[in-house]
Amino acid sequence: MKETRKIEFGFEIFRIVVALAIAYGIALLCIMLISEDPFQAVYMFAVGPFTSVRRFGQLFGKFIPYLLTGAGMCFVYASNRFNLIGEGVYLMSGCLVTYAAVNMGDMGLPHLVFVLLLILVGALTGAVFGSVPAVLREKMGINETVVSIMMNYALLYLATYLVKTKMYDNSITYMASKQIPEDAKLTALISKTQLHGGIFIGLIAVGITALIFYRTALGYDIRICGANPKFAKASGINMTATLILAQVMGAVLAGIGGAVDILGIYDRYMWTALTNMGFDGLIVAVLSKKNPIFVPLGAFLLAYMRTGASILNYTSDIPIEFVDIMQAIIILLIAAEHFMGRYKEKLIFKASRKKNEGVA
Amino acid sequence: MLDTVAKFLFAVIRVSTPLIFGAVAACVTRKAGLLNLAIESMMLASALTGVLVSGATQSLMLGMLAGFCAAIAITLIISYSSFVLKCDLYLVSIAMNTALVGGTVFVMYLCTKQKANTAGAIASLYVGNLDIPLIKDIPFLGQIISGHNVLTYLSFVMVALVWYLLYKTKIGLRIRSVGENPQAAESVGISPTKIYFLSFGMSGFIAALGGMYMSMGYLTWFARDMIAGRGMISMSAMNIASGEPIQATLAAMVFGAADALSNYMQLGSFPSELISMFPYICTIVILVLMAVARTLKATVERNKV
Repeated sequence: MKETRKIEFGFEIFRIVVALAIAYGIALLCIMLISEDPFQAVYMFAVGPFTSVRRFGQLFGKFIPYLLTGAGMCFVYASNRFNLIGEGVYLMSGCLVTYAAVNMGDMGLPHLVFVLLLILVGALTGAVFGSVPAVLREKMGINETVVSIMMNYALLYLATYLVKTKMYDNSITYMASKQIPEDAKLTALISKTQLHGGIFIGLIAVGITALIFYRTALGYDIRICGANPKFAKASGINMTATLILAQVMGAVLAGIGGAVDILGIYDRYMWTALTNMGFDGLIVAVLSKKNPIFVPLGAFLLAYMRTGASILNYTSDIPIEFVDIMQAIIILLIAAEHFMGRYKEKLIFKASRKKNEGVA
Repeated sequence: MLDTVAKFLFAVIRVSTPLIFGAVAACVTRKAGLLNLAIESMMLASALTGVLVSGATQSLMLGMLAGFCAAIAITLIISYSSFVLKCDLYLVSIAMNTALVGGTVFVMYLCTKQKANTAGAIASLYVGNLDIPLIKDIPFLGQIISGHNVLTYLSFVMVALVWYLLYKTKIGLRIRSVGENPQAAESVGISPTKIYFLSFGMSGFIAALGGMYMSMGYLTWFARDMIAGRGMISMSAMNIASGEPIQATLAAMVFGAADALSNYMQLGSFPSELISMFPYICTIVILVLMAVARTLKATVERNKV
């Protein structure tokens, strides 16, 4: 059995690499075909994020929220619930945190207390809104995917309404909230870049998620409920409570992600469309195969890809949108159980036959 | 006053059309037991392809044909990866939606060097409006019913067709039996995988009409992210009707009314965002009420025994 597991693990890594290689191959081919200066374009896409401190910081500006939403989606994805509320929570958390920051700005709280308080606001936002689809699913059996997608759009409109009526800044021409006070912002680790103190929050969150997953009974329960619900029920795990908790935790982490992002790199709240961060979190969770330990790796990969594309977008004639197609290819190939599945079976078969020969 | 009401009802039918197509498309897969979250992407694909091909060939027929092909290609990718490669269906669908939101902009930029819309860049064709003789002369009613896009009338025909297909034909029976119990259907020789492919394909065909209505009827150009959640709204209209095409159409029209109302309200001082929220909140509330009703019914039946 041990050997089978080893083969499976090695194979998973191999498969992810192949999937990434295929997606990158297609992307590079596209760039080559449509760009007037293909070598410069490929260089910018592949190496661009590392060519200056500012660009490297930009990569981290994306990496930090991916850590949080990715860890959050690990909870949701591992419990085998397709709950996308992270998307709406992320946005709403950004909105409410900005509201709180603007209104508490003149209370003179110490910097650290202020920031932690605001992050708590984000976490609470996640808990409140995240519990709706979770409870509806586990208590009443309503499809959590439908409810969470509906709520995402509702939260988007609600946030826009709040900005328009409660937080609107008359001194600017575009639709945005009042400025977030300097005291509330997460300090930049390297000045004038998007690498900010939120990275510690992100890494701590990933660490805690990993601990819960592999060192507590709760994490075990969540994984069992996701992998084999019938077994979980038969062995007396309180499935309702476990699954609600898992989904709410996912939303809480997404809420913290929204708070950290808005306090880290924005001056005002100005999201007028869904941020797609919740979905990016799902991609990170898929890339890391629901294992929180690999979340930083997945988050870095996605952030690298996105940053490369956005650099390409403003240094050449290639629009950033091709990354969306690339992303879909990666997801399809990694999540598809049967992609190269026959090859895996062959390997396992060969290994076990070899072992049996030794016994006989 | 009466004139305003007539104009409003006209607008309701006009904005409901893509929702009706989408809702009916979702019904077909729902009856096969699958939730179609990818209507958004099918609509986007067909909306762009229809505009591009009809602009290039100057033939409406070819343009629409290409639109259908694009949407069906999307369904093939989704079906193949989730029913053959065993990828999670929801995951593929959502991935498809994001891929197409970006992908259509990418293709549009390649073809026209525009990132916002194709207006002005491509002289695409569009489906015209139809004045119904006799009815258009009836006061009030004529104002509401007559003068719509041809596709709008087609959407109502499509509802009837899908109802007929699902409940009166052999293939409809097969789709429903797979939806009820795939194992049982398989035991009598119906391949669920085939039915899944088929129902997704049909769903793509119907959704394509909705997409092309958006870019070749409602507007006469393609704009980035022009479906803007309509696929999701129509999916939820199907959901609160549990996959019945006629009820789903009614739900889609209620949501369409909310959409039309929010368009009107943008002119006034009442915040239009709150009305835009209506379809989404409404869906959740109705789903909860339905679940409560289900539980109550189950309790009553248990007490009887």
